[in-house]
Amino acid sequence: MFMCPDKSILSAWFDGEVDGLWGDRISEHLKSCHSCSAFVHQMQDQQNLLHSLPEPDFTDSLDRVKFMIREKRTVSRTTRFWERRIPVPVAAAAAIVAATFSLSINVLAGNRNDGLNAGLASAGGNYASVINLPGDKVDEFFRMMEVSMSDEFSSNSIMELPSDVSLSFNGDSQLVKSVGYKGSASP
Amino acid sequence: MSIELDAEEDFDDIYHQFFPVLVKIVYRITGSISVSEDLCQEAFIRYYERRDKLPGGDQAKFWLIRVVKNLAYNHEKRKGRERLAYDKFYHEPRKDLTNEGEKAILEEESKKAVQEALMKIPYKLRMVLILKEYGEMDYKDIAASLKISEGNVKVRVFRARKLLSEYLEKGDVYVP
Ligand SMILES: [Zn+2]
Repeated sequence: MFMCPDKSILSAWFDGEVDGLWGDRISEHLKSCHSCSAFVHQMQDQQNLLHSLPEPDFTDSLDRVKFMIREKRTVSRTTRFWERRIPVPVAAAAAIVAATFSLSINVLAGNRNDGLNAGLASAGGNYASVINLPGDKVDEFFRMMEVSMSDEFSSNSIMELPSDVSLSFNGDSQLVKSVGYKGSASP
Repeated sequence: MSIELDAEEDFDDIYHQFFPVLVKIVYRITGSISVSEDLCQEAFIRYYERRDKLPGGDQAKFWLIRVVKNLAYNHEKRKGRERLAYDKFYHEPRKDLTNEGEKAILEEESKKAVQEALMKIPYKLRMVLILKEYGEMDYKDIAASLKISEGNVKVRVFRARKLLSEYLEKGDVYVP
């Protein structure tokens, strides 16, 4: 005679996880054992209850996730792009250019050995070129920056943004935080 | 460019395949629509960022489950104190049913109570039961995604069920 199986085994059987001979014997046992079949019914009730709970609607989530991914990608591309060449405060500024402002970039030529800060402090100096870029052309801006990454536009280069640039339109607090720069000499 | 577009499409596939079930799982763990959406979005963003190195198919699902498991756990630790407030709910006296309106309210409250009871189950056990009941997974999949043995899954599912029954009984949940 087959004795009552442990309840944890009945629970596994209920989940369809006991097959073969064992599974058959349990099925057989349940036909004649009130206590075990009551336990299985109880599990069934619980499962029905769990599955009766209302499901929220998440259909709009994909757009939101994609939006966040796009945002994040823009920021990280920008940051990585800049960090390699130019000290951090100016870094995220590249994204700011994206918007509404007309920007001039002053490329400082010559063999300066000082860092960016010193460069900014004496930014009245020796410009090789001044490029004006319509503020709404981000891609062009990036392309241009890539080209200019060579030679003279190296670690000694300086970008100047208009002092009234508004950083908040991006709506990205991280970006604003990492910039903290309003075009003045002290970052 | 087209490689990027392909990757974009692959990501969409993974998303459509797994987001609905993932968010269902996390919703049952956390009991909050907005939290579950946030955590799942975070998980998918992480997946997106590492998608070159990550597997696809079921392995992607398992990876995502591990990520949301940890995110939800951290969230719960932060929110631990608030959760205790729910306990009061169980011991409020129930009124007698007099009309349909009250019956509806009672039903509504009962559904909340079931969710609260679920959330009282210790995290490790709850996670496994929820994967079983809402994750469309068998013991083998659950074991693979949580990196535990199938025997362990069996024990945890059973314990979680037992605790849930106890909590529901204590809470005097109205079952229509
Ligand atoms: Zn029996």
